[in-house]
Amino acid sequence: MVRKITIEPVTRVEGHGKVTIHLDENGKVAQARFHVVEFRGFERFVQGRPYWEIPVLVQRLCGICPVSHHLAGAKAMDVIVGVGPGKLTPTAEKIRRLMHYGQILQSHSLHFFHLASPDLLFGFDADPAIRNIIGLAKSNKELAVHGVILRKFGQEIIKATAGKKIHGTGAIPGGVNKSLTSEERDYFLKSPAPFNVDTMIEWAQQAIELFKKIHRENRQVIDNFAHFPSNHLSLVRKDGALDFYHGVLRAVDADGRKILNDVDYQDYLEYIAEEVRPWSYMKFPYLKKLGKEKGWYRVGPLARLNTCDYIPSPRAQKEFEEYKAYTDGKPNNRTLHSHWARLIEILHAAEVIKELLLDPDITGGKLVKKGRKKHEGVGLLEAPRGTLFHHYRINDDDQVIMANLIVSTTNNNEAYNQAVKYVAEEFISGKPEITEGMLNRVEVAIRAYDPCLSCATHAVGQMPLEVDLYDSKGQLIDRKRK
Amino acid sequence: MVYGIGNPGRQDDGLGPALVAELEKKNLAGLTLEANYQLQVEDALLFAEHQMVIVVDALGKGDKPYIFKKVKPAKNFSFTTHSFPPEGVAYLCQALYQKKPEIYLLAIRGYYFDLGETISLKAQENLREALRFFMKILNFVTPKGKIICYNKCSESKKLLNLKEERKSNGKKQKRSSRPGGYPRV
Repeated sequence: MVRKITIEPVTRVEGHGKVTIHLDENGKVAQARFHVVEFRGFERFVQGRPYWEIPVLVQRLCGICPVSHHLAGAKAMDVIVGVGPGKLTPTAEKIRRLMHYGQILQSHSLHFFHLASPDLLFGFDADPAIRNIIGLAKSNKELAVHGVILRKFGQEIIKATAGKKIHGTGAIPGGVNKSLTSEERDYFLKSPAPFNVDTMIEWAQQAIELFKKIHRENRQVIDNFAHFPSNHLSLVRKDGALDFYHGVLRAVDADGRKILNDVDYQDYLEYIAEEVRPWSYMKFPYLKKLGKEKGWYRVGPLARLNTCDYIPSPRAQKEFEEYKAYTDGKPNNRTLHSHWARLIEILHAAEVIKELLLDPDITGGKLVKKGRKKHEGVGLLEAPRGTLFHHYRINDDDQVIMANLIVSTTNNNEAYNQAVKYVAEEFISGKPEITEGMLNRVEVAIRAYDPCLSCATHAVGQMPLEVDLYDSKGQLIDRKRK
Repeated sequence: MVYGIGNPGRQDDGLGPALVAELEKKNLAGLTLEANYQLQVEDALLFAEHQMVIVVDALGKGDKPYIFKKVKPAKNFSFTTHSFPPEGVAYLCQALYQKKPEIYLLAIRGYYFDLGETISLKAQENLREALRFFMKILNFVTPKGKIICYNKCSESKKLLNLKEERKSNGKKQKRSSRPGGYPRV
């Protein structure tokens, strides 16, 4: 007798995406929602732990962006040990930046080559079996190899600065525990092609050219898909430059008017609040100044290029100027342009990595500073998917007594819902069932943000995307799952 | 290469990295050890550099303490970057680098996947059993990275279903003598 054994290893990220769409009596979309089953236990998990463990502990939140949590946690701990923003040694500051820009490079590359490029190259209606990195490997091997090597390069930068892939220990409260050796530096600068930073810069530039070509050929679709107005929030450097690691908080509305004018993120609670809605475990952050209804915002590449004034690296700045010119200098509210913005950020990250590698401080020996201890600290940075908030309080025994984390996915919560609503109204309204094409478009809308479900959720099992369609009486009339 | 995947901050999800940590203590020659939270596309390049890869992961259900099976390349894919199965890595390895390493999955049964740093007692027992099984299997790895089945190793024979493999090869495999030293796996 043949016995089939099915093996279901626990997926690395525990969660799934679920979309529900409710139709009214006329079959039109009445409501569309993206549900994420969030597990907020991490904030409780770290309570009672000594503060110096935080930068290592928080990496366990996510297998995709542990470095972002590592650095945001470390930045908060810098404040607690009295060596707040701008007070680290030059070596510590630059090593952390190198680690972070390596993270941006690898994560963005994964997103574009793994998720976005297949959608853009093959079209939204292409067979899902080929509309992925595997299909890309078959049809455009060179592009797929670029994606793999760019990602690998970023990972190696992280390994050199953080120490290892799991539980990196590079950033510690008040500094870092290692700098680069000259051999490590030269490995990234001078290795034979393709594994050197100059090749990464060239490939990043090529990826932008590819996007622009696809855009020229599919302008209508790329410009109009899930195009909706929103506010945008991110860190910017004090002079308004794009900065992923440190700066002040800035928010602009859909027309570019400043809502938050370069405020200190230590005071973020004065400006941002989180709303709880009964149907979702994930909170909805909003700008207090505008209130719950109008105060929601987007974070991530699109938002960052909407809030910053310029990009402080020459090639990325040139691309930024072209990008901004497309919307006459106004904020860009086109969801699929986030891929364009992401590619410009990859180029910028590669340029900054080269600049840092050429900086003598990167091999320096002064790694840590100490100051007067405080009981509270906030660490913020721009993670690949958007602004990441870490906020902690400690007691006199150095134990964490409060933690509050707002991850990028939570910041973008309303944006997912808006994107799904767009797809529902545009492609599902008036239809009795969910077709493959509709499901694909829901997928494309969510992929534009690539929600970090492990940061925001916990549910053991596989990771499907499920779309449910309900009639006006609340009866489930169709369900599609992939 | 032995590649443990999982999150040690999610209790039994850390079984993969835990097995790798146990192997590190043994300091075995010729064995590359890696651990990460999850597999990703660039692992195709890493896999391509090895003749044999054993991916060690946690298993969410079932009544066995562990399961061992061969991984075949497949176009498995998810809608997110947050999930990439070994079959997908195997496929990319072949498509991008024309390499076909022998890839196996050793999946160890876990029970608790909430936040926490300790592997449950029951899962620890499974980890020990899986480790014993792994050491036994390691004795039957050929220099080319294939696993040869001994009668003594009935578990591998059963789980790898090598009888079928022999049939498909069209000839009966000879019993291999134990290789001197460990090959690079």
